[in-house]
Amino acid sequence: MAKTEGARILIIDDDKPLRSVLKATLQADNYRVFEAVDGDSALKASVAARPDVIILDLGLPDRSGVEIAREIRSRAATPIIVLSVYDQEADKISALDAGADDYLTKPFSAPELLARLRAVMRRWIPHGKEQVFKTGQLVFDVGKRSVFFKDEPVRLTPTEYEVLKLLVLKAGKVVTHGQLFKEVWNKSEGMGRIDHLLRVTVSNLRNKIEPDPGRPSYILTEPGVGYRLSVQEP
Amino acid sequence: MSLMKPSMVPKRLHFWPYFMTILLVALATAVAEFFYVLFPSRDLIMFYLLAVVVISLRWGSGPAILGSFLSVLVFDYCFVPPRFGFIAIHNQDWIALAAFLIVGLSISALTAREHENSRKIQAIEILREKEKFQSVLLHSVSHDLRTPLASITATLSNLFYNKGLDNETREELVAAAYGESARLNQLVGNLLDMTKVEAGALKVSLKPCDIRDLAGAALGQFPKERLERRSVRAGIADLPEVCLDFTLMMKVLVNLVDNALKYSPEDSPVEIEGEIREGKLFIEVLDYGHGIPEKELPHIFEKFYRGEHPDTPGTGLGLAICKGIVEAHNGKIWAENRGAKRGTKMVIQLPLNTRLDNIYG
Repeated sequence: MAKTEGARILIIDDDKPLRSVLKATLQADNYRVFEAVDGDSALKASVAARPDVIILDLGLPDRSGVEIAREIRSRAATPIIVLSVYDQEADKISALDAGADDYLTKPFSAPELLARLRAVMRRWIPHGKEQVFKTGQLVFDVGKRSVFFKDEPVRLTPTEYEVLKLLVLKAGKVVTHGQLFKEVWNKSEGMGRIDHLLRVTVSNLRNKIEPDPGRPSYILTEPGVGYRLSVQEP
Repeated sequence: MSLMKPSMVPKRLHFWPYFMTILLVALATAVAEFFYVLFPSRDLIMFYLLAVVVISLRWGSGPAILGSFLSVLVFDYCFVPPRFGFIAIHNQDWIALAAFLIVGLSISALTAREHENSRKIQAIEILREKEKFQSVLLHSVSHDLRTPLASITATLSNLFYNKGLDNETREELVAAAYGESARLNQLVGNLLDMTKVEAGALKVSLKPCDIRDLAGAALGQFPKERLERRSVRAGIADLPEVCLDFTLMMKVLVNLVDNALKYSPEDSPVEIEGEIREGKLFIEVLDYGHGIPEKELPHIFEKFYRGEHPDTPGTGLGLAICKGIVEAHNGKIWAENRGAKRGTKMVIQLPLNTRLDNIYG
């Protein structure tokens, strides 16, 4: 798990009051905060400030937030959280597809912000001895390609395994439909059939690992966007 | 003036009234012929006058003019000796024609003015209704937005200026303000949604959806604590996918569940059920509260309607928004009582065969 104490956060937002509040909140949690107020200074700061996470408001006045996300992503792998307002669906999804890692809808609470930050800083790259991911009662072993729920093995089809694996690799972060189509089915778009297959796969996964498939607590739906694996503290 | 169907004829010259004119003149001729046997006299022309009066009342000046000319000609031809023959047009004919035209044109002018007036009055009334609605809206919005704001302002100013507050009080104040800010956010969201519904600008993006996922996602919008205290169950059995707008329909369910939680006792359950019946999808939200008074049932989906409980929080827009969204899906939404003390059932009915499309509702 990445060390989050003292991590450097760059806030890109033209709204001063919101910047102040974000700064205060983050500093209270021992983060180091840097600010940029518009698109142009944002790009400079994304390099100069060497941030560990970038919080980018999509409603910037001078440049499209989606464009900025894309540009930052083209130069660095820094995790990006975008801030959007209610009803800005299309922007949010475009930003995620352009490289943003997650989003927050304004207004959001401080705990939500901090949880998202922790989630995007958590980068799990299975290697060597670290091939097992645990959340709540779910155990996912990449090395052995096995999944256990409540210590019982769960039998998954190859597709179900791939979908769950992607969700696990991005545990806590949103995974868009587009990312799933690409990673699991190798399609750039979910034309009818693939769209349908994804829904069916998720439904089957829920039947297999959720205590109450009608009210999922592991595989959460992000309406209009995709899915998110909830990381439950043990 | 409106029994005509649009026809291929240019706008000004609809065929139907002129046809009727000829018919009525023929009818007057038949009647006059009938009475000719009893009293052959020029007075029979009165039947034609009657016809012209009816024509001008019903169809206006054009047909009235035709009717006048036609009447005089036909009368002269049929009833003035020689019968069924023209020798010449008599002076009395000119007088009769003048009289018919005066009568016919006066009546149609008066009728036209009457219609114009009633149109104007209707337009004024519509404008007045609109103004009234706007003023109610503004008043309501102003009140509903300012009330939580008042609470938040009071709390923050208190915390800012009053340094001597004890921790418990501070906690209480902050908790209250936090709750109010959530309420304010919900109100703003409702207002925005309502504006879109009203303007017909609701963009409905139909895609095949998993109904179980829909219900689960709707319940997922509530803070865990709120649902944990109650028994909230989503009983959606295996349903085929249905075309709808996931985000919008989820909002509808969230509103319905929110209402069910608010208006039923703390220890009673809330259920979501879904099934396909008669080729339609039915999604129902059930509560075990006191039901809704029968006389209120038809009104609950009206904007700003808050029924007999004006102090319960909310703008009264939630259900109106639900209705707007459901109807944009070509669906129906209604409420039913399930018998004394057995609560209410909110029913959403959606069609199954919709084309995958983006539609504006």
